[in-house]
Amino acid sequence: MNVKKWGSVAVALLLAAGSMTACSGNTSSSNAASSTGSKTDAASQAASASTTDWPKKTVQVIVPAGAGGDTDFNARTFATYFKEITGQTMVITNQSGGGGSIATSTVKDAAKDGYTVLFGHTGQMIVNEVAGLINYNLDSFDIACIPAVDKGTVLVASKASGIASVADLLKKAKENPGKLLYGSELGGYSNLQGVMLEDKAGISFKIVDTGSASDKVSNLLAGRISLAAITYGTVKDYQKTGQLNVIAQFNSERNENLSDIPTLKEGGIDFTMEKPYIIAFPKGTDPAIISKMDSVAKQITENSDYAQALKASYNQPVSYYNSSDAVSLLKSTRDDFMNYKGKLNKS
Amino acid sequence: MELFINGLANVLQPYCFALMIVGTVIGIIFGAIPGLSSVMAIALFLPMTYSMDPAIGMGLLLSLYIGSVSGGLISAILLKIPGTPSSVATCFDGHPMLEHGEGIKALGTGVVFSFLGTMFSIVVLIFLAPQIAKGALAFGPHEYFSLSIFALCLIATLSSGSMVKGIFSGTLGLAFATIGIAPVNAVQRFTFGSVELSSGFDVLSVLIGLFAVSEIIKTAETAKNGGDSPVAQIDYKHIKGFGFTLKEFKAQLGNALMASLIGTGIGILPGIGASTSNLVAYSAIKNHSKHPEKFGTGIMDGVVASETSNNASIGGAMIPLLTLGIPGDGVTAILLGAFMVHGIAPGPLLFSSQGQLVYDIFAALCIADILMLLIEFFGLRVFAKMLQVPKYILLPIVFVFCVVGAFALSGRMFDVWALLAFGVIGYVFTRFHVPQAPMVIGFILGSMTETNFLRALMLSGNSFSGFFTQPISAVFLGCTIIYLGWNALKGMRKKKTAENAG
Repeated sequence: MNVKKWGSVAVALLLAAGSMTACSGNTSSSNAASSTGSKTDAASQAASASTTDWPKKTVQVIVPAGAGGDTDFNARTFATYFKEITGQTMVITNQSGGGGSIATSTVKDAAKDGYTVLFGHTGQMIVNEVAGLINYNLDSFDIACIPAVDKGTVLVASKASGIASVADLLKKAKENPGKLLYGSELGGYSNLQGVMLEDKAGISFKIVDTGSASDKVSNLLAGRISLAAITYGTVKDYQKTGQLNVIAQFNSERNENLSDIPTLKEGGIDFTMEKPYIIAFPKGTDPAIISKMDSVAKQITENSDYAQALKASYNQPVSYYNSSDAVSLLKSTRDDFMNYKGKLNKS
Repeated sequence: MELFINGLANVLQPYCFALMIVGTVIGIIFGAIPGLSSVMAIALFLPMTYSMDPAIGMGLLLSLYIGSVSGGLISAILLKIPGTPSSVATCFDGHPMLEHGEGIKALGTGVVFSFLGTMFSIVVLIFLAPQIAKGALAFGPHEYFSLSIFALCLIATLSSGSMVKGIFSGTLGLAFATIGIAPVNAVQRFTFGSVELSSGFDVLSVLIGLFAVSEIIKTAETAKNGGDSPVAQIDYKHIKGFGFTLKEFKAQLGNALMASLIGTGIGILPGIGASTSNLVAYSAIKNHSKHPEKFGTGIMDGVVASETSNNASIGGAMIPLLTLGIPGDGVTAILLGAFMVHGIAPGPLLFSSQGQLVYDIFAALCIADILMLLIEFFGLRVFAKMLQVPKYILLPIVFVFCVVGAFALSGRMFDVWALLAFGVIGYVFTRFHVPQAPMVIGFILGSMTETNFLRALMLSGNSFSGFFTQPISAVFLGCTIIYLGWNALKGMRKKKTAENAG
């Protein structure tokens, strides 16, 4: 046995330890947490619900999407400022499997001690229920707040389609009902988006499965599909080169960072679909923890550095809904989405 | 050219250079340890790059990428356990070489040809990226389906010995790939109501289970039945440089070129990468070789095929990322995220709007490749010394890492249990001499084949004719038929001569 070899083994072990804490949260601490969980509950019931010393240790954040995407970015940016304010670290665990249902069920069944949190969006929290992928819903969670809203999604048309505006879209779609190919992920958020657009505009597409944003872009460029909804950042170069036409944004009012792009409403289609990010705890978590998280989120969204980070990356203006506003927004969104249950995934 | 020199200057700044050395070393370690993968290494360091200058952040991430794709060869050769999915084929000839006492030569070959493969793909990236990227757009669902059918057939030749066992293994891989939420229509299949099963099995659990855990079980068995398995003797004294002669090197250049082309080509196509290219290149070169029967017995050709092609996929995968903003594999998907954080969206204007950054990236790739060559060269003897550690100490450590890696996939025990289950399957396979590689490839290509088949049918209005009328798709299907026919003919002739002789 020589020194060099043991050195490398030690380095490797250290790395593994590092990767465990960084990639996947700290198992030992979450085990400890579940055993103390009942105590915290009892204590909180006794004490008044307004004060809490949470967070006392690292908070595990479950993100129902892979590393490197928009949801992951929002969660990690939030985590950075969370640490600035509370002094405690948020560790991000990516659980992208099962269309996000693995992540939601992990949090739903986690200890109610405030140390396992979901950072997802309406796709996993509502569309999965509409699509019949999960048999629980929003009510299985305590919603802390909406710390951010993705307002960067735009409707993009291929050059070959000859559609350059909402007016073109309506005209072409009415001339060729059920013919225009609309790219989406069947059974997912973008499928619902397409179905709702058809309904609100009184037109019909042929909704096909193309996969994720990058697959949509390549299929649009090659002219295999005519339409798709994509994050603006991904297509902005193609708009400049004229290879793709960005025809509208899905927001109720023009996103201040995308002020050149008209809303669907301006084009005469009364349809908005913004994608709120949601911070949720397992049902039955101490209300004091929830209101603490809510107030921390409020402080974060008031920070100008945070605003700058969101703008620079995903053209996202700061948005924030407190706990009760978030719940009512999500409930009405859910009711709205539920109207399309029969149409989802039936293309 | 000036941009490239500026790029070199930017990358060689002490801070960036130091980070890249660290990145390469950690990349190699992540690559070498079964269970820890390129994607994990890069995902781990991604948040660090948020606060860095984009060029420096990319330098760090790219050095991790190159190091980890190459590092897999170390455990593949020394332990017969692929460190990453990219080095499965390296085991086939790398480990037998070690058993013949040519361990250093196998390692040296792997390192040098990893370097050359990466360099080849970087050159293609720098000079041909925009032209080639347009070609990648021509690949739609029809083309992907036909390509994956072709790739699945190539893999049939991986089943040395019994074709039936190879087909059994490949089909089992395809079957396991169907578990989980179905692609396209999102129906739950074979999940038995379990949330855990709805995401299906991760390729890492399947691969590490089949190759690493099964090897550990096998070794444990031999250790119990009478001491340690014979340790390969390595002659250190008479070895210079990388352990092979200039003549041997020259003889491999043809193979290296073919492997580079295959590796870069597969890298360019979004959706498939190094984990497929090493097996495809291995079987293509084996078929093309004058002595296919020697493959698997420990010849340089096999190591060259695998290690050149997997690293050549790196530059390939960077092409659609930088020119189209379309990631080619799991790693480039994270790299895309790293760009987006800085408000840089890779796409057709990246070269004009962020010209310096693009050349910084080219420079970083070159430097990281050279760093990988140097670090692995000086590390060769250290790696080989690891073999002197008795297997009853080494393998339990490897086993721990496998479990840690599986758990780290998404922080749940399910992946660990899956890993162990596939370990048992792999062990049963080795007992009955069923090859594991077709199962891995069936598993990887299974969902790709199915997804693209369904998508293609949707696009062409449920008509099958598209597969034959779209030119690229038709070529691949034609190749598949010719290839299968040729192999069947060859098999019949062999049988005839055998009968005549007998």
